[in-house]
Amino acid sequence: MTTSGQAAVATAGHGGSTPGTRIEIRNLTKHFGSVIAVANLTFDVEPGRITGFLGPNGAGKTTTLRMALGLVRPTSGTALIGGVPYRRIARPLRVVGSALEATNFHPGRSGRDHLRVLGDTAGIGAARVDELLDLVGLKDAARKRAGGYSMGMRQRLGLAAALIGDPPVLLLDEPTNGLDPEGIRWLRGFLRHLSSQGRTILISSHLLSEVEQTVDDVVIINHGRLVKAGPIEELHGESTCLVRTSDPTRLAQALSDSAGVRSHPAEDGALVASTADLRLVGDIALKTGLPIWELRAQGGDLEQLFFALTEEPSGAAQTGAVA
Amino acid sequence: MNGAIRSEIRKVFTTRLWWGMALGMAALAALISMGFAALVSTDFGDGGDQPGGNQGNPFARMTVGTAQLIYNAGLVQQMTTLFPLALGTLLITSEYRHKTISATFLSTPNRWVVMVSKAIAVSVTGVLYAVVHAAASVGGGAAILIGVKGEPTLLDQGEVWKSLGIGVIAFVVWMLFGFGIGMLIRNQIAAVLIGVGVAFVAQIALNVIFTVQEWYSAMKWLPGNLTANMLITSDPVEGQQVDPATQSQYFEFWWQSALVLLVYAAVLAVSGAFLTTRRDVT
Ligand SMILES: Nc1ncnc2c1ncn2[C@@H]1O[C@H](COP(=O)(O)OP(=O)(O)OP(=O)(O)O)[C@@H](O)[C@H]1O
Ligand SMILES: [Mg+2]
Repeated sequence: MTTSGQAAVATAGHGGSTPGTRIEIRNLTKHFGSVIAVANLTFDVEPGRITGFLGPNGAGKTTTLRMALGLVRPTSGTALIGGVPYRRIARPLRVVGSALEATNFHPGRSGRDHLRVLGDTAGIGAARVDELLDLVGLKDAARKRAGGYSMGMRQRLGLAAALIGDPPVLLLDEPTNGLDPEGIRWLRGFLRHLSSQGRTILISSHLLSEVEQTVDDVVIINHGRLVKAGPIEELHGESTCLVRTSDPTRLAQALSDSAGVRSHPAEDGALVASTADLRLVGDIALKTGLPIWELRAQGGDLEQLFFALTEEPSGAAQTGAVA
Repeated sequence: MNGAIRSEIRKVFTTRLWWGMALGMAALAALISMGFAALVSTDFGDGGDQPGGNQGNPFARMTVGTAQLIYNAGLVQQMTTLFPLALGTLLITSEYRHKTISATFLSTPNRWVVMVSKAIAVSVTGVLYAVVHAAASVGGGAAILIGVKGEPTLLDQGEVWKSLGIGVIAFVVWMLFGFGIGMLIRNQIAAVLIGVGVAFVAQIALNVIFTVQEWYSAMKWLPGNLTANMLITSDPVEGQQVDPATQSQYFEFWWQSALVLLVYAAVLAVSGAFLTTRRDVT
């Protein structure tokens, strides 16, 4: 609308000085009454990479995305896309594409009309809309009412809506939700392709396994707090070992006391220790006078690790997030 | 801004709601007009023995004012005003019900631009509804006047057409009432029930109370009465004996009623829009 907005898009859009557009989340906090949905969250999302935004249900993923998109006002902190807050981007659909929930369509409006309504705001016409419907494989259902679409079709329509302005940044909330394995594979290839063009892509999920093969980086949150951020290989690198003994609680205490090794109980009385050093675990068990019934390395079981990371009580935030 | 307006207008016309409501409204408007036309040159409309003073019989003979009453009968009866009210409310609240409001604010982050665009789209729809309403009412009313009553339709009179033109303001205002209520309440069912409840039930109750109490000058501030008084620019009871006290239920000029209505609509719409620009969209 304004000239300052026009200036903002120059830095946020394709014409920035660095190739690609970075997302910067800085000390982002949101309270809903007494509920702390997001607590002092800081991370970056890099261009040319796919970042998985992970956390269990209620972790604060959607709230964070909505703050980044200017829909929810942060209690404190900032979210910048290409150096500016979303609400200051003059032609937002051409800078950021987003899909928040697959159910956000008027059931009586056709998929094509939904995209045309969006396109109008950015001067995007019917030709581009039809091209997109083709791209996501919705050509045949385009003129049918969206109320009759399957979950997978809605996800595709949401993706088409996100891509309408050919934006350098994509924010997708649970895009794999409701997709069958074939659909997930299709999405993976599609996102890979988009990412290879240098786009910045952030996808949220509560299941690491669903995005494990898609993402380059992960940002894991729990109870609104950052748990882990970095390339996914670093996660793989953090291998653990499983140990079975007569008194797992005592062993856990001993591991923590004498070597600072964290551990958590696994099924049928086993213990998973966050170290790959089997000898260390064996020595400590011997010193503590505990028998070892089983001891083996667990090479980077991501799902286990994800549970370990997100099940850990995280201090002050945990009371806040139960709602 | 132009893009946002085009988007909002396309939203209105890409679901079935607008023509379904238009159809229902047209049928009702035609029926009420036919009913009014059937009263011409009878003494059914005689207000002589009603509570309050003698207000005259607008149907005693066919005057320009009578024609205005017939061709705006649905609005004067405060029945068809409920259609633009409900449509305005439904159009806004369906954005919240189906959560499309997120997409709307994502494509146009300046929420005031969205609000103004919506108000314009809703007003454009109001103009269309006014045309549909006038066509249905004139069709229904004139058919009875010509076919049954053998009375002149008075459709050659400029004042009759002026009244139909003022109908456009009535529709825009009632659409904006709906828009404002929808923005304030957001919950679709609650907003429609409260809007229609206030417009219909509360107004009838207040009208009865004001008439019984003979608070004629208070009556003219009710939105429904303002609408009727704005539309009827020519006195249908001209030449009849009426209680002068009842005259204070009208403004002297039609545009005064129009102005009051527009102020009401602006207050509702702006306060709804203001809240919307501040609230989180979750
Ligand atoms: N409008 C709101 N009012 C009150 N509390 C809210 C609101 N929106 C979210 N919350 C709370 O904030 C916390 C984070 O919710 P959020 O939806 O961001 O989580 P999420 O990580 O997206 O979860 P999911 O995987 O279930 O989608 C939850 O405890 C939720 O109950
Ligand atoms: Mg969520």
